[in-house]
Amino acid sequence: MHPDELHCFKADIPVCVVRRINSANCCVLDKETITTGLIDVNHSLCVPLTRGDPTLLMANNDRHQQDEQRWSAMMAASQRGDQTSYSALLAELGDVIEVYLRVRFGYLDTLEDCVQECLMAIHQARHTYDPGRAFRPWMFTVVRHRTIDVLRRRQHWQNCREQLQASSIEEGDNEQWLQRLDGARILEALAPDHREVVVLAKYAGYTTAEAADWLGISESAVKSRLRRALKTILKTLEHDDD
Amino acid sequence: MMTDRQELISRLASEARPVQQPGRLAGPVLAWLTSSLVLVTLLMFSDGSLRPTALEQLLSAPRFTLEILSGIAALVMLAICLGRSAIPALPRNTPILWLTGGLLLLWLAQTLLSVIEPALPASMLGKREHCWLQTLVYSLPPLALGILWLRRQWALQGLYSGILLGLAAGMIPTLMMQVFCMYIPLHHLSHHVLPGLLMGLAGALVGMLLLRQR
Repeated sequence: MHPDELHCFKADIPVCVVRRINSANCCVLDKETITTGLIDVNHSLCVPLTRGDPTLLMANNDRHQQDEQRWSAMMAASQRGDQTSYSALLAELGDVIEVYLRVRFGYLDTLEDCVQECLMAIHQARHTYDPGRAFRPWMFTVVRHRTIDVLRRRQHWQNCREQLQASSIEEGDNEQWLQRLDGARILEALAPDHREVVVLAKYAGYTTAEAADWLGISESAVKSRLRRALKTILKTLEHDDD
Repeated sequence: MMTDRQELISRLASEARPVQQPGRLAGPVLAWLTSSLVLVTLLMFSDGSLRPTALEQLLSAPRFTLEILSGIAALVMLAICLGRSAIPALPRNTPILWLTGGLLLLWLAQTLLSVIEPALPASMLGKREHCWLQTLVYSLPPLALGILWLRRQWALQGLYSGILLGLAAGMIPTLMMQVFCMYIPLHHLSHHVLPGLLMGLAGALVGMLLLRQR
């Protein structure tokens, strides 16, 4: 690494690489280009910043320790029910998690969802934080696991969607079937319970388990409602054909 | 205008109520072990009594005593590993895991050794009907208590925690059967130890379904 190049950290997370231009200034990459590495100082994305600018947080142990102590104290206060500390802590952690995810995954269309899921996980797990231990490992463990969950779920969704698309190609009349289902009149004719199952399973592409989870009923109830709803739709369509 | 994240944060902050900090691990581990032991002991007594010669054998046969003690030590270590598994960022401490595995192996080795060379003279005294089923059924209260305990924590690896819980829950009636049921080493192995170890599989299933926080 060039001696004038430095990693720029924000709360323990390497945000970008910066290069000193002269004794007073350095350039910093735009946040969005973190994953691309160092670029030429003359690049348009380089923003000259005065050394010592608060946005340029150089890696140093003092800073880490300050964050660590502050977060630990804020979490301890939150565990006692201090809402102001908790709100401030979550706001800070939200930014840190965002940077953490951005550094690791680059562009992620569900980044904000991931951040919010992680904040919720921290909220749910806050009773397991022991103020006698370091805060960072605890927080990042929760964040890492929750992110993996979110990404797995996202992958599962994509697989489901691909399967649905594949099946609609294989079964020639499925598309036609869905087109016929589009008629709002047919849906309106269904009982509300049946209608929501059809909408979730056939339009939104939910699996039975996901639809069951969404509706707060068992999977077998979803299947039976769907079966009955489709039977009703068939009857309506047959009646129309007659 | 508030963004989604700000709204979420203000909602979460408004829900912030005082929570009990985890404190030391010893408390919950001891509470689970004690309540499980009490429950299983009560169940054991509800269906029969202690083998008449068991206490005398414990005092007079060092190998038998050692077998039971190593089982108890393995159980305690399993419970400690279990408690640790449900707190984020506590590293899987390798020495603790090795010690737990070592004690479990020591206990199993002694059980197997007893099949070849019994620590006590084999006897039908204290025979229980369907003791294998009792071992399985009596593992359920510790398993249920463990689920309640771990679900209040934050188990990140449900499968790992579940296996530990299943094994620990299964070991409690298994160990008790050594003093409550007849002493025939092969019978102990097939009717008590094996069902106890099978609870590890049940625990794995429970872990995947119920323990993982999502």
